[in-house]
Amino acid sequence: MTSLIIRRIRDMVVVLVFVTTAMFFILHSIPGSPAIAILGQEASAEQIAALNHELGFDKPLLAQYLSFMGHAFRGDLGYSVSQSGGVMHAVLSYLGPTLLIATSATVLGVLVAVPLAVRTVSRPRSLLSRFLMGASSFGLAIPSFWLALILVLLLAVRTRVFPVTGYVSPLESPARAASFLALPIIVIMAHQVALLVITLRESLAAEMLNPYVRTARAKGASERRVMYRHVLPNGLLPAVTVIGGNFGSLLGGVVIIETVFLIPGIGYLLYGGVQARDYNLILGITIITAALIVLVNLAVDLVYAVLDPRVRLQ
Amino acid sequence: MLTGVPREDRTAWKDNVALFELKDLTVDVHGPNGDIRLADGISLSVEAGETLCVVGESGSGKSVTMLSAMRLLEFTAPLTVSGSAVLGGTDLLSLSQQAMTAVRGHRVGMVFQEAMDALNPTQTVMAQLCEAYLLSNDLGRTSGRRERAAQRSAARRSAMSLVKEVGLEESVADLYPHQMSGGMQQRIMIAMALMGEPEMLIADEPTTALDVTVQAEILKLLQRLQRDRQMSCVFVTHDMGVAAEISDRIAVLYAGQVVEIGPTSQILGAPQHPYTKALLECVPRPNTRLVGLMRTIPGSVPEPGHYPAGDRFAPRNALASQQDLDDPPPVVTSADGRHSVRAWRPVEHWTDEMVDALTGHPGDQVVAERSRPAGDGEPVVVLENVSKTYGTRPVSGWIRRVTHSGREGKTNRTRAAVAGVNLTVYKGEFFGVVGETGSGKSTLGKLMLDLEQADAGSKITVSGLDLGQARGLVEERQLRRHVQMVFQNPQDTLDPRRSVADAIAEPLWALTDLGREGVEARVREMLEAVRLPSNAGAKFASELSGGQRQRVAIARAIAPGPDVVVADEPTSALDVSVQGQVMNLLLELQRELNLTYVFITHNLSLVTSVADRVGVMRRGELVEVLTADELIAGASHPYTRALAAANPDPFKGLGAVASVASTTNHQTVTPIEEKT
Repeated sequence: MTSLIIRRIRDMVVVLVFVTTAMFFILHSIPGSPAIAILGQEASAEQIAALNHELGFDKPLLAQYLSFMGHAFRGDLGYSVSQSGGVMHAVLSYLGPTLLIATSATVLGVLVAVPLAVRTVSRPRSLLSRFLMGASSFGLAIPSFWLALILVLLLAVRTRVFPVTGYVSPLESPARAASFLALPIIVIMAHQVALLVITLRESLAAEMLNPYVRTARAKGASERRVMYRHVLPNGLLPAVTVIGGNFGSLLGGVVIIETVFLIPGIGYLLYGGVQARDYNLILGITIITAALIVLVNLAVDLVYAVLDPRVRLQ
Repeated sequence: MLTGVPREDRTAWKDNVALFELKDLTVDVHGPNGDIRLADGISLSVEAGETLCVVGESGSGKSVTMLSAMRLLEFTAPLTVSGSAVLGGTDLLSLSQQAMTAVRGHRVGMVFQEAMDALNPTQTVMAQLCEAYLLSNDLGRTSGRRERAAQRSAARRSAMSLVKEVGLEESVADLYPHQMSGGMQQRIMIAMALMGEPEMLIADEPTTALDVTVQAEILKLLQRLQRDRQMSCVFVTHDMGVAAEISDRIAVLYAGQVVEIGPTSQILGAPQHPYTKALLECVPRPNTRLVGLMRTIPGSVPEPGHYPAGDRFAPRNALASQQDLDDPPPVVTSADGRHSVRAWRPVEHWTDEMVDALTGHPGDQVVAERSRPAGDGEPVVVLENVSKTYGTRPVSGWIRRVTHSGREGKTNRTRAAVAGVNLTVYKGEFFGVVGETGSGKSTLGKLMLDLEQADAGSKITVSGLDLGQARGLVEERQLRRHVQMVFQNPQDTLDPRRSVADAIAEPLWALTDLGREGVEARVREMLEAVRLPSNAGAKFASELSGGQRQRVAIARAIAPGPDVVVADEPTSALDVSVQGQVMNLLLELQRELNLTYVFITHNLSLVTSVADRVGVMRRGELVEVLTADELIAGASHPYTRALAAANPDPFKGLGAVASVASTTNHQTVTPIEEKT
């Protein structure tokens, strides 16, 4: 177990170095410069050169890269031009709403998807099962921004059940926070639930064919017990992998949703950073996001080891 | 007999009341192209305290019958079960699944094949045993914390006592299934089936995946438990030898029907149905040297849903009359009602001629000369101090060093699969390698084939080529022309998307310089050599029977004209009635092509009957190498003797043994084409 964690942390460092390096050079190969973004198109060449010099963007690229990496290793992600402050500080202060949406959508998604998936496997021919399979494909196929706009139109603009946009920290007022976060979470959840129902249905159905299921029945276990004591715990294993592997695209979805609902999360921050050509901010958000994804994958491996003794005891 | 109790005494205390009775049990599976009948009017009964063996080959319906009677099959396949399955006065077919949960585990315990898969991999053995206790005592959903704690400790006590009763240490209870050996897993399965103190135990091929020595122990255990608890036992098996060891009565199933049922001594000693007789004759006798060819049944076991009209065995029966072929036979029962046969004319007395016609082959005197004494030929496979150790992977390249540092090198858990083997196989020899799981016999074969690389210091020479030398593609191709292989399961070793002709042609394209026409001609030649119809080349593996698939695998192996063929368990996935066909083909090809065989198997009887010399392997070491005659005369090594003793023999203790295949068999048998 300890060696697994150590190995994973080592992998994490390698991944982060690769991601940072790639992102750094891709960003700098895009035409234009932060100075142009700050000063506007009408600025003179001298003004731009002066600002670039002030910000250090006139040094050789390799020198900029080494300097950036050197600072990054010490936890300093540089200065954000658009936020007028440290990148690390900016990212951390915007991280809360994003994590809140991502984790609650995942947790609620699992709570909704598991009973539905169990239902489709134990009663495959029922009307509900057939409807769920169709609905799942639909849930996977629709773009989340479209779903977001439709929900805003129906539940916020027409009926005024929820506020249209905005954000209140749950620390200030949990009830108001919930009403602001309900729509974004539902949008993200729809996709999560659809994906989980489809994955779980496959893995549960495959698990049902294993001989140990027959053994459980031979012991006199009811179908309910067979499902919840034997099939579901083992069938959840692939789903855990899917949840972990999907975390990256979940964060991607959150970026879009935050922009639609004007929620001050890192997606919103990134959007602003890209518009301002704020290289350091974009890099910082990328690094933090990559670190989150690697951490989630570590968590998945640990959960896997807890659930499956064959992995644990190897 | 393992019990030491005479058969008559074992039946003496029985009151001859049927505890479990199947009447006209018929199972139809609903498929896309209509129903397929898997079991057709099965009638049999199990008396209190007796052991009934249900014996049959693949597709006979033996497992289907028992599983559908226990209402377990309907979970995995849409089907209709008709007839009746009465357990102690209750027809199980009329019960709801809810009511069945009170029957299964409580009144009937079940043990399945492949205990590894039949146990839940993510729960400890103790958790699974306790579940069986709680379920069979109907305590699954009692509330109250104190009550539940009391139940749990009662379950643990009960589980522990059964764990000890099945011969395991208490400490194994906290292990997970994958941490145990196959034998231990099966003991746990048995303990679990007994947690509910059932009246009847159904064991479905419980020893099939086990080594013979472990099988013998498990059979002994089952017999002891059955006697101590006075349980009835239904034992489903494909192995007549196992049935002989354990049963009071035997029911023989073929193509979904009971063809013969009766007391064990009568079924084994005086079978009246040609199929029973033929099946018994096909089992290789322990300690018997084969003269001529092996006994076998022509054709293959019919697939469910494609049963012949009339007597279902008639198309494979050289003795069948026109009536047998046309009309379904009646069930004839003996005067005392103990012995029933489904036949128009039950055979009361078997003559040698009849047996030869049933299971024999056209006489061939040349065959007798196939055995050549070892040592007179030139050495063709030479192993000197050959070892193969797994576990230490050599670090290859910087990628592994970067990504796997810390893992390799620290783990020095190495395992010698093969350790210091010295062996010479001579040209034209049939060399058998026998051993149990993990003995290294398959690794030894792979080393000869250069599919595995031996440890440093080993020297392997095949047809004069030193496998230790670094070789390029040219040398590799040269080696492959000299040595080819046949593996166990032809279903898995043939590419399902390739036609038979393509499969056979592949080594020809890769290893020879034949052009398109040359390859095609060679493929046709090979199909003929392995006695497959010429139109078989266009078929796919899925369209062939198991025996035919293995013929294709053999054709593929001999196509490039090798000197040596390494065959790893080539017949163990086949039905006994078909095994002989494939063995005979191998024997005939050896004579025709002057091949050298290295034949790897766990089946000591089989290897004794066909091989010139036998190497016995145990834990990676070559324990001894004997000629077949020496082996029959009595092996010197205790391990070989233990293997021989554990081999189940349907004729052990029966005295009057029927004839052994003779070379002077000139009976003409109308060859029956295999299903193509």
